Amino acid sequence: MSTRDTTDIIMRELIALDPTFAEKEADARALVTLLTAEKPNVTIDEIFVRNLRARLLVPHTFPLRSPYHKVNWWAVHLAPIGALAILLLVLMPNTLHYFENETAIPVEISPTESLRMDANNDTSSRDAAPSAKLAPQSGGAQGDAVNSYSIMQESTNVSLPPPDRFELATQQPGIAISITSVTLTRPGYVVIHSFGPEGIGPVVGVSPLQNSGTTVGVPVYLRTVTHRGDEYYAALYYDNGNGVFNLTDDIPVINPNLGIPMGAEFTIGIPPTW
Amino acid sequence: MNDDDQQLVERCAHGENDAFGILYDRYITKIYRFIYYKTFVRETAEDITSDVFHKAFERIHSFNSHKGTFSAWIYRIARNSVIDHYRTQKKNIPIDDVFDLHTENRTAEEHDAITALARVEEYLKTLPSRQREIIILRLWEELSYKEIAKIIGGTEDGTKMAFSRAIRELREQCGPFALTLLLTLTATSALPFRNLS
Repeated sequence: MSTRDTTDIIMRELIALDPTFAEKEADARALVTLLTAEKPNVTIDEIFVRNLRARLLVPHTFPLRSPYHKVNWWAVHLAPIGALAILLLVLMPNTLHYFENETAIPVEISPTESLRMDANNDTSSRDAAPSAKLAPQSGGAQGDAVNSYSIMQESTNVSLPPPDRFELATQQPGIAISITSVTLTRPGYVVIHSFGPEGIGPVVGVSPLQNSGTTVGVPVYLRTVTHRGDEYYAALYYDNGNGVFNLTDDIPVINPNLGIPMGAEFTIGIPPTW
Repeated sequence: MNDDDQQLVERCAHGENDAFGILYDRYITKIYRFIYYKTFVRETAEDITSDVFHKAFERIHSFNSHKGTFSAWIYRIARNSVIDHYRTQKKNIPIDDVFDLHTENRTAEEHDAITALARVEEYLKTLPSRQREIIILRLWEELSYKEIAKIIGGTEDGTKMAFSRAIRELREQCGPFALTLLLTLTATSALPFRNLS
């Protein structure tokens, strides 16, 4: 509708409501015309429109609770103990000889600086024989801690596919979780669950389908707005082949050493502690 | 009442997500624009717009067509979301008075919009926020008085009267000036208006 049409309609309404508007109609018409025509020319970003639409209409056929939530609860709470044990093994001289000829070692997760340093050390001294390197790693952008949940493997003689893993830095409040990187041996997803005192809750966001290999910078848009202190749980799933995430049909990525689904909790605004 | 909207809402209630997609396509630009008029920051407007549609999706089952249209319902969610935004961001400003033309850290497009709007603001800022909101919703969003009443609260007749009163006050303040400005801009082809055919 043109400005003139709008003005005509408004003027008719005004005169019908208050006949005195007819007395100085020119002034009133000019005013209404100015006000109407000065409407800002606001354009909306089409990419934003498409992304929001995709997030809203993601399949919502998820059950309220992951069938693995009890297992994962134990994994999360026993992780520090396991990490401490691994840390002691690493720090003891010659301990790594124990792992010679192994392609992978059971690794738990820890935020300790010593483990980060180990992950960043030059590995040339260990390249002479197959060895293991421990997660987590450091090196997030802008000084944020970046923690990874993975089993890392190294070998100079055996070419192994990269293990399934993901890395997560400190998350800021907003509408998405930013996955620093994700590595999958099969196409799959990073799935974000809510997390509370009773454990893992409903799915609140799913990444786009990730191809096998490593992808850096994966946003997972959520169905909710996050706030500092909110707790969530991130997990990896393999796609079942249909390219659409469904919690009951797609397959949780299992930590081969622990035999439990691969995932970890984190808190918005606080560096991951795993 | 837009029957088509109502049918889509009922389809949503039966789990047809694509029906919400149609409602989304129909209202995304309107809601974004409505929020942008109140924030004038693209990122903020996008964040709040996203929040609005997530809330609408989650609460679509609670929508009651007997209490108003879907249009009024989602505009009300948007209005409340903007108020919530200002409540968390700026605790000391009047909650209803969210007509804020900050000029720092703007893009060129935002500056253009603000420059144009600054002229209107000279007229509008003399009005109470409620009357100002009615004018924006009626003249820019072309909503009916009934819908406006549902969004901001009140009756249709009361909203009409408030609009009429606002125009009368503005006319008394700047009526002759508005006419002069309109004629001047038209004569010099410096008319900033669109669709003034």
